Amino acid sequence: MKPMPTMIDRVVDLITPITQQIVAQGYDELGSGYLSVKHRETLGLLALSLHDLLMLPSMQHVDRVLLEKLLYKIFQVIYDEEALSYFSSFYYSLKKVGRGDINEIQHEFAKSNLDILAIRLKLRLVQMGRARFGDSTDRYFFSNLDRLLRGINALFQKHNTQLYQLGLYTLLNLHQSLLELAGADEALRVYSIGESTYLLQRSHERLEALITWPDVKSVYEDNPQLGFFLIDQQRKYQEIMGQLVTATFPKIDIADRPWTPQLWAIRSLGFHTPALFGQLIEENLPVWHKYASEWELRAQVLLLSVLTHYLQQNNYQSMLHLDLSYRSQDQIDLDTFMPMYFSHYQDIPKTQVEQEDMNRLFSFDDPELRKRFGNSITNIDQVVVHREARKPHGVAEIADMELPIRLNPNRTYYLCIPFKSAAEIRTDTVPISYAYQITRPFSFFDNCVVVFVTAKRCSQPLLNDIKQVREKHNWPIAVIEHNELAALLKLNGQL
Amino acid sequence: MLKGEIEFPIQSENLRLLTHILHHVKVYTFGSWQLKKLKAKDVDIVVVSPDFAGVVNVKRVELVRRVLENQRVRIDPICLTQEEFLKLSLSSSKFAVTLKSRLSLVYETNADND
Repeated sequence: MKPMPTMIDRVVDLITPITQQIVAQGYDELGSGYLSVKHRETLGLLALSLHDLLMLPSMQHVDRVLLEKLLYKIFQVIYDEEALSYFSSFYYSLKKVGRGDINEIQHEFAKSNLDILAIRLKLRLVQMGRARFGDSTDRYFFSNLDRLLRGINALFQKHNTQLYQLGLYTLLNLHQSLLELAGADEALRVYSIGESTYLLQRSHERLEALITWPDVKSVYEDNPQLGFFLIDQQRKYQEIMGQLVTATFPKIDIADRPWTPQLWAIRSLGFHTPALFGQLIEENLPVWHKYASEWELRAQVLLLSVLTHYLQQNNYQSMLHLDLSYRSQDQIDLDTFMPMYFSHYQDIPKTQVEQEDMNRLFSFDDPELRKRFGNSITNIDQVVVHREARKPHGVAEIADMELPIRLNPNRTYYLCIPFKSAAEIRTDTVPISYAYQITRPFSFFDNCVVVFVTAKRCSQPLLNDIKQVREKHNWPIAVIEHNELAALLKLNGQL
Repeated sequence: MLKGEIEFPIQSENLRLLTHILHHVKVYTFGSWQLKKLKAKDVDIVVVSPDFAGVVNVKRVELVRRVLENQRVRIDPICLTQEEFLKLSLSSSKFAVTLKSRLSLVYETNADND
């Protein structure tokens, strides 16, 4: 008899279709042209959820590549397009409050919240080793923050209760970003080390003062999404500052609220009360299974965030199979491509490879193999080939060699070549665990050809996997392995 | 160079190295070094190339930095395709207006690179 599915199984069963739906919609939204502030904010939240999901330890490699690809593309929209305005919304928020037009204030504060989201996303990218802090843009985040704090202050001083919710959300969002920056690994902070802590203290003092106002109190007490967010931030602040954690969640029934605020509240609880968090998930899971596919994107994104947090909390280690769909529109004919860029490639089948040749090939370490293989590459700027063949390994590196090529006059492609020398592979064949290194370049380049170069043979599971990826996603991946590699190097006088 | 102007801190032969990774490229400068802040530690540049199409921005920045990494100043590149640059040029945001007023072309691919 089949065992009853556990809570974890049921959560995973829901994560898979929800992620498929969200990822497809995320790619669609990005390709749709104009994006409103609201749309951008939803995409930013989606990127944060994708980052959480990527933090799970085990995931099918193509799913990981597709999630990363979407995350980078959203980051481009949120950070590079929005924050490129050097957080000017922080500057204008004070000005707009001064003018007093409510629509203008709401619009500018919505942009400020998006800018805050941009810096939170940047922190995730830094943590992934894909970006660094300290650019001019980041410095403006800190230098303009004072204006935003003054803007929030001025907004409350107007004593317009209609704007209190907006002001409190913005202050809490800011507080959250500064908490995340202050709590980040010291090595990541570099520039922000002093500023974030100082500004965090200032924003926290402001927050504590404002929430004692009776009119402000009624705003967050009537709104569990906001009220729970406040408690979450108070508790996290107390924890990070080494204070006694005294803030407690009110006992409010949130079940009658719409899904989006309900999920926000559950998400806030999840950081502090695992038992209640688990209980709420268990209670709601059957309904979510039934209806979540019909929800709007924002509610689905929040659900993904809640479910992922549950898996993280329960130390989920099993392989996650999301089975994401994506198909490249490229039409690369590898049979034509390979002889174009690898000298004497067509002569490989006719070349006799002796045991002595294989012994030579196996004696090369990684830098030596890269250098010799580089000398077999043709039709590409030799300065670039030379530099790529000798570049040191870094954390941010995606393939051992990344070479720009012109396959057609209008578009640059990147030829990415991951290498594996015999010394690097201890087993007889290259195991499937190396598949991610082969597909990873596709998360950065839409137009990309990967040629995997290995002194040892690929294992059958790895070859099957490559074949499947080629067919399903139309990603051009070629392999030069073992005696083919020896033959190619021999033909080019490199063995 | 006029009297009182500050020399652009990246030499054109170094900027020319970008042509090894980008077939067509224009490099503009803007930002603090232009404002004669001699102690500016970093140089803001805008690199415009059609070759950036289909490359995520984190990778564009990485590619440009790798080529220009051995400079005595830190490079902060904004990497745009021609379409993205045009969009920014047409924007009326304060940033775009300020950027346009300070942009100065410091390198462009020669016709023989085409």
